[in-house]
Amino acid sequence: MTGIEFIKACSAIGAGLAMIAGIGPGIGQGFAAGKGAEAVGRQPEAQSDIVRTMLLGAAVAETTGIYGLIVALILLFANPFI
Amino acid sequence: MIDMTNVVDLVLEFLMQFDAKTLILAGSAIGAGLAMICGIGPGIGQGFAAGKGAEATGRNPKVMKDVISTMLLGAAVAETSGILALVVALILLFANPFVAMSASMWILSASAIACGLAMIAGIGPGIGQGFAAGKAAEGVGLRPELKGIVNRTMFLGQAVAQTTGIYALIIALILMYANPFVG
Amino acid sequence: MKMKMTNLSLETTIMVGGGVVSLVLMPFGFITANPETYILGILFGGLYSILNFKLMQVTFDKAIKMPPVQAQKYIQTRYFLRYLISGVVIYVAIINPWLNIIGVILGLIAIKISVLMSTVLFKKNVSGNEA
Repeated sequence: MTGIEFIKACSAIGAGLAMIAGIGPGIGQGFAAGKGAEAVGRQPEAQSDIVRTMLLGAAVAETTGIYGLIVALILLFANPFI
Repeated sequence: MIDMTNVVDLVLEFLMQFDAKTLILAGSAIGAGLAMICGIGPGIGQGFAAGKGAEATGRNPKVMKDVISTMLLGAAVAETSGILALVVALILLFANPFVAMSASMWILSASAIACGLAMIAGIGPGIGQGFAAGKAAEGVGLRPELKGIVNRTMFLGQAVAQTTGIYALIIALILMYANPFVG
Repeated sequence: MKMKMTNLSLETTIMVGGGVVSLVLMPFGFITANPETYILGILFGGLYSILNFKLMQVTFDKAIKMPPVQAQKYIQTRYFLRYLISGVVIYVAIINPWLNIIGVILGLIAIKISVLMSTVLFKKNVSGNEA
């Protein structure tokens, strides 16, 4: 095994670890959707306002997953170490 | 049964065949990946805030704008630990300080992995601050006239919650720029 | 301006805001070595982030009518689909020499900057309605 191959193998491990970050926004948005659906069930006439509030919160939550994705893909396809 | 000392010897022998720079860079790659695990925290926290905000809006649609502004302010603070982790990961990737250091390669590559491990602590502040943001949004929904006080209390609590994340950042920065194991 | 703000729906305002943020970020490209790839990158990333927001809106509109447990599952599967698409977009940005990756990342967070800035606009709107 050459040095470059070893760095590539470790980068693959690192990329896999970085992708774990994607779970967080998934859980969070799921919780938000559950609460939102509950609120609409209780007060259907406020539906558009509820969706709006939820949408803004979820749009902010989504970026942390994207950070993890960026680091993982840089490690895989634009590795600065090689 | 496998002889443990034998396994350690085999692993060390395997790692010995590479030169110092290779081991440090490999450690940095794993460290950058570990640092990004921190992204779970803000994701869960901000999602919680969004859910609580939606609930508060459902209870009283007239206060939607106040609820949204409190929720977004809180969510913006909850993002901090995710950004800190990203910064540490990018330093490890593009401005790696370990390559220039002269010390045992074992210490340097272990330090690179440890930087990433330290940043995992950011999960805690992310979830906690998101929880504070959600509860504050709920409070503003109930009593919109107290928005100023609620926001101030939320920021105070979030600032205190951030301390453990800052400790993690300090440890990572010490390992990178003032490593006590070097020299 | 204030009238216009109240006529547009909040979602549209934020999508327009994402475009404006991308435009504001573009001139910074001239301090980089290769301005055109940076600007193309911001265009690509900003466009994708606005489309992503629109997709999210459609998904949430649908999910909100479901029972809570089902809505949670629906949103989570849709989130991971969007995550996959984001992965493809960032992959394309990394391997394509015409797109500067820093520009693409800035474009991707343009919609978030727009969402966070909307709180400032809200305050103006609320006080305007009260007056």
